[in-house]
Amino acid sequence: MTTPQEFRTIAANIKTELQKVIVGQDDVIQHVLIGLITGGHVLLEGVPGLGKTMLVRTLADVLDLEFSRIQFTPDLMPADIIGTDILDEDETGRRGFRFQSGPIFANLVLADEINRATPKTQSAMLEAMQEKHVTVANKTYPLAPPFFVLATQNPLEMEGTYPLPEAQLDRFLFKVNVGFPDAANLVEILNRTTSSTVPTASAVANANTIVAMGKLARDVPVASHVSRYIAELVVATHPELDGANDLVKKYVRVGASPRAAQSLMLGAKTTALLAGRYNVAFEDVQAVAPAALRHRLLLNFEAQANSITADSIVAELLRNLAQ
Amino acid sequence: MQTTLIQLLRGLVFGLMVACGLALLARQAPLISQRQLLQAAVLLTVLSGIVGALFGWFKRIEQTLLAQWLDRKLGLAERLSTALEFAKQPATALTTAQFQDTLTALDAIDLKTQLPIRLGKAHLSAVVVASVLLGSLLYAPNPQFETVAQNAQVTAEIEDAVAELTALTQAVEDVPNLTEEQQAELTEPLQAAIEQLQTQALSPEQAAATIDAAAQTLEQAANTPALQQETQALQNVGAQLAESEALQDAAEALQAGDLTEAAEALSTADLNALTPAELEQLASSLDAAALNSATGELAESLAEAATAARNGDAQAAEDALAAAGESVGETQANAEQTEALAEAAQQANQAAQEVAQAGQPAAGEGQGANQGAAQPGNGGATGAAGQPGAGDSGSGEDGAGSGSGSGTSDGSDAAGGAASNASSSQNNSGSGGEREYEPIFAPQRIGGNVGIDVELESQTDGSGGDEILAETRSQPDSNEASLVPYNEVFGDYSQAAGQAIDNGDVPVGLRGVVRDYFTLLEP
Repeated sequence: MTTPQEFRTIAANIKTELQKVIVGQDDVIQHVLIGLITGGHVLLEGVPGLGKTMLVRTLADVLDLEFSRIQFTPDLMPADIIGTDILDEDETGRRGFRFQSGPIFANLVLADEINRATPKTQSAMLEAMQEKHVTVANKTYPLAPPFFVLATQNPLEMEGTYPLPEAQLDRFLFKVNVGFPDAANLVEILNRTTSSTVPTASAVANANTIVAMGKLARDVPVASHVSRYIAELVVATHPELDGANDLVKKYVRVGASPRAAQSLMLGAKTTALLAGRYNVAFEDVQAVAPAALRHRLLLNFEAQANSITADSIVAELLRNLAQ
Repeated sequence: MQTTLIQLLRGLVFGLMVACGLALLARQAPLISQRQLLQAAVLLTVLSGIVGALFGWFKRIEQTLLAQWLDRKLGLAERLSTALEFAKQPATALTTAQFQDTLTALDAIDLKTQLPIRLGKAHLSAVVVASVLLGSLLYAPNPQFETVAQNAQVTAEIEDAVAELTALTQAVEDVPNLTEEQQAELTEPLQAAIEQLQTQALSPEQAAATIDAAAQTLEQAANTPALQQETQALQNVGAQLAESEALQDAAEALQAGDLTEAAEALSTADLNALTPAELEQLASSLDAAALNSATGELAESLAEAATAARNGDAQAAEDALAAAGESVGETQANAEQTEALAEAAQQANQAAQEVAQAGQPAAGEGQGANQGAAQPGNGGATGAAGQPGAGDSGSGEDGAGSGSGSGTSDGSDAAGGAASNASSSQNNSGSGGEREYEPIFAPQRIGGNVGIDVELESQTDGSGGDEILAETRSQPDSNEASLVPYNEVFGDYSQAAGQAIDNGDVPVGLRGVVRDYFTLLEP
């Protein structure tokens, strides 16, 4: 059982350790930490070289979790991820099939460049992410908690990629945009990574701690009007509903799913605890709303033509929605 | 507290705006006096302010909404509303921690700085603007206020008149020697007038006319020429009796008009001590007195006394003189009755005049001056009507009074031209100056309140034709009798009055009075 104070302490320690290695990217760290605690998966999107993989590796070090990395490529097969039954011979010489688990059987999985795998493989991966178990040869193998997938994708070089379908994107708690560091941070990155001593992070938490923190986060009380605010925010993303914002009507093809509301709620709860509060505030919801909604809003061609992003629509909705 | 103050200001603004609306209405119609409007405005403003403050004080905001508002206002990040909501649920470690966190956050708040009592500029400005608006509406010149004041004065005067007529009715009933029929005949118009005044919404002119009609009835009752002749005859009788030493007291009393004393002296006359010569002289005086006596009964008694005295029967003469004394006593009683009726008629006239004056445009202290200014028209009009008025100065205290009377009439009317003006008028006489005096005085009776009642003596032209009414001077000391035939001039004056009405020279409210006047005077 983790107390709120312990929660905050552990979270602060995790952040501190991550920041030893990762320069800047506070927002990314925050969202990744929220995803980790709530048991949601996070899709990191950014150009190569921004430290996405480094972040996940460091996180694994900090949390003392079993870590695996899957580099998604077009020829990657589902069995390469979830594992397969192989013919094995025991000490007595008796042969039989034995399940050889794939890299997905880890606490922290880095699905690098997930959009480069074929939809079949993506589907297998995402199914495991959702169900938190895998089934091979009619036998189900649970994934040990905490099970946390950090997927990355490159918004460029779209050729030869398989963009994740909306239904599968919906499985991610957050989609976090990893931005380019500013000059100061870039200098710091240079200083840290080009010297003889490379900073390393220490383990400050383990799997049980993370699970306990996740349970505590789910118990954070939420006032009914805040819950209603979350629901109204999600409803507001639907252009087909009465009272939809003009921007939504014009540019959104499909609104956010109920999973978006769940993501908002869980993310807001964890954000509140991380902020040292024991209740969810509107600002907690607003803090996670872009990450929780940007990959769940399906924009139309007109939006793309006008360079309207999901983030701008979410920002507009947050501005107009009454608290 | 903040809500209470804001609601108080809102209430004040509401009350002020309602008062402004009332003030605007008061500018459209004579509904309310300035004083009443001011009182209503103050009352409305205070009441609505109190109601607003009470509403703000007792207004129950739902706890949850209040908590949410405080969360926003105090930056509590939904701590208070969450704590309130979860206070009803079983406590958990997190909810307990949340309560503690909320209390800590609340403790850290300085309510005085976070929730200061601020009165919005908008509210204060609204109060100021509404107050200024109301003030300007209240104190800007409003002719309706004068109308209201005038109406109130008329109402008060009518009430006074009703009281006065009621008292007059009682006075008439108390007059001795009146039969029930006479009393009914006299009190009926008075009571009808009272009823009309009480039940009908009469204009000042109508009310004055109603009272005046009742006064006319009383005047007619009091106007007994026979009694006057009788009284005059009694004075002559007194002069004749003065030649006799024995009836000296009675003669002096008769000459002085003291009929009571005269009756007593005649009844108690002692003739027994008179010598035959004195009796003969007394008989001669009594005979002469009998001839001057206006009533047959008195003449008969005096003649009987004269015969008895001539016959030397002193006792019979005394008895006859006692009978004559009774006749004189009866005459005295009749005179008292007439005097009472005349006094009642005068009071009724006074009431009618007051009501009529209350309906004049100018009221209060300025009335006298205004009426004085208006009088030239009166004098002129009177002259034009062929009835040289008394130069009515109205009830104006200054007595600026009427003009010369030549007025806008053709001026050929000798009577009009000679209309005297007892007061020192400063008005433009005969220069058409009536145009300066917009208020037109409407005489309720010829000569007005202070004028002298004029009885037109009837004359005949000897041709056996229509009776010719001749105008007379209103001043009894004038010997210049005007002898303009009434039926010859009426048409001209009536036409002139009609033209004046058509030209708009006569106020709308008085046109009916003028028409009625000439209709009634039509020969």
